[in-house]
Amino acid sequence: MKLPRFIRRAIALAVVPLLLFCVPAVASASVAGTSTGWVRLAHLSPNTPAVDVYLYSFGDTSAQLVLHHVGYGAVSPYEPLAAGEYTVAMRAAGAPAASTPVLSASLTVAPGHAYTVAGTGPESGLRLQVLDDQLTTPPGKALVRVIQASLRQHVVTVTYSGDAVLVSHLAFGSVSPYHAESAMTATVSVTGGSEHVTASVALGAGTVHTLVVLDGAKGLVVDNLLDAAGSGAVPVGGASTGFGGTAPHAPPSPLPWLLAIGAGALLAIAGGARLRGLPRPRS
Amino acid sequence: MLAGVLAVAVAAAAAGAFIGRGATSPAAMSRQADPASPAAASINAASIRGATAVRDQAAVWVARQVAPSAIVACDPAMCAALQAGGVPAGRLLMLGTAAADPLGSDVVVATPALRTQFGARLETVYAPAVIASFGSGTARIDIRAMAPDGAAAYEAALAADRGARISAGRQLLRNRHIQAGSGVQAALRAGEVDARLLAMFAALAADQPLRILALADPSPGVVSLAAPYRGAEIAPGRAGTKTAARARAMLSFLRGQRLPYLPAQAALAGQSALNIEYSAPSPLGLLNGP
Repeated sequence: MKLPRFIRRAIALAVVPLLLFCVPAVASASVAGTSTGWVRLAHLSPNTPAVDVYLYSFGDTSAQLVLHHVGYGAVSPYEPLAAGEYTVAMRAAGAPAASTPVLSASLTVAPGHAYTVAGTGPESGLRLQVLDDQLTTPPGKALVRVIQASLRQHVVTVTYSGDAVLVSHLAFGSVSPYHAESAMTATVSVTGGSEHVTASVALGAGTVHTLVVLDGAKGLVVDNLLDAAGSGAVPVGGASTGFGGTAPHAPPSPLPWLLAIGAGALLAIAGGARLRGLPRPRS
Repeated sequence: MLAGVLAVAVAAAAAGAFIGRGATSPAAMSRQADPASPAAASINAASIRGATAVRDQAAVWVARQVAPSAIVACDPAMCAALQAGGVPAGRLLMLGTAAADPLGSDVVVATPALRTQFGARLETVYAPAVIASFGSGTARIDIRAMAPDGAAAYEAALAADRGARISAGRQLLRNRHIQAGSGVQAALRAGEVDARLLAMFAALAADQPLRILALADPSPGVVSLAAPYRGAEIAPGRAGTKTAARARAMLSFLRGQRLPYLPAQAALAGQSALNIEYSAPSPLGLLNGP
């Protein structure tokens, strides 16, 4: 069956813009997938006042990141950053604008990798630790690690589901390796020298968690950070106690717009063709 | 033949000179017990003066260039020269003839005496990298960076560090706030610039354009991956009435840093340029994180 000429032309006219829209969409997704990493910042030094944190890119002056007034226990959402080398600097929050940010560490952002840059230790020995965050898990498993950021309880032991030990005698300022666990809802217990706290943590298959042990106003607090939630793709999760608000949002799908554009083009062309077939009014 | 005799005499004199003042080593005793001819004595005196000059050069360099927190291992004569040059005694690890190794130090001043004492182990086990060298031949004094985890681990860390320096240097060349001549560009591309300088360039360029006018090489006598350029002359990228103020702001930024990013020297060079210099040895792994 041969379609009428004006319909074939209309289809061609509609398809060309669709293709033109689709190519950059695919290309940009590819670039994002191969050249972007993610970084979140955490202030985990109990007796250090809030700080401003700066990330300076070696290669791109427009790719800087500044987070203001990051206080103890705050963990930012992941920020997408172009892969490359960064140097990290800190300055006391509220310090005069002319005061100098102090370089603290360097960070290599690899494509597709996620990192936590955490200020740890006591104020007198504050240091920035760059932690490589896992985004994927063994099939059907969850991954869990612990950051010990309690100064009041210098050493803690973390157990779950009764007496299974997640990490034993973890010292202040230390980070445990990731531990693979079966999917479950676990009751996590943190025991220090004089304090104890429990928390319920849902360990879904494919999820990656960082449990942060903090000094709270009334004792130990466990903060459950969701590093990845099963896709192994773009991490967006911030801390449940984080200041948030800057997490990237996935761009909306262009498909509805493209369909609408295509349908509109079809209607316009069909209408135009019909009008062209009508007799011209005589003047 | 005569050349051979002279070479032996010079080597013997140099070895004696570096064994130590008042030392009672076999070489020193032999020299006292068997006086040479007047001609040989004259040669010995000249070579001793030369060796002493080399030792003093090495001492001055260590006092000025090596990080103030670094522990320096040395033989007794060299330690005395270092102390005379201003290195506090508390930073010196004196290695007597019975010392089995230079462990516990950050830098070894490898005089002929220490080379004889530790043999090939000095290079293959304890301190594989030369970061500066003075004099020549057997009288040569090498300044070596210690490898606390062994030579193999050091070489691996050095190779990784160089890779990171190459990557970081090439990224800086893409930074539109950084201008550099062809020589500086080549050094950045080749990973020949200290990681602390690279990080500082990136931070300074975040605020304003930056010109890297030259790289300084304060490590004499060596061309080594372990001795990258630790010094630079830089200037604000924009010329104009505010250039001097911008240079002063850069200087303030540099002096506001803490170790390991605090330069050993940072000063204005004229109205609109600055000289920066970091101490030796260059730390490894600053760019390799996490």
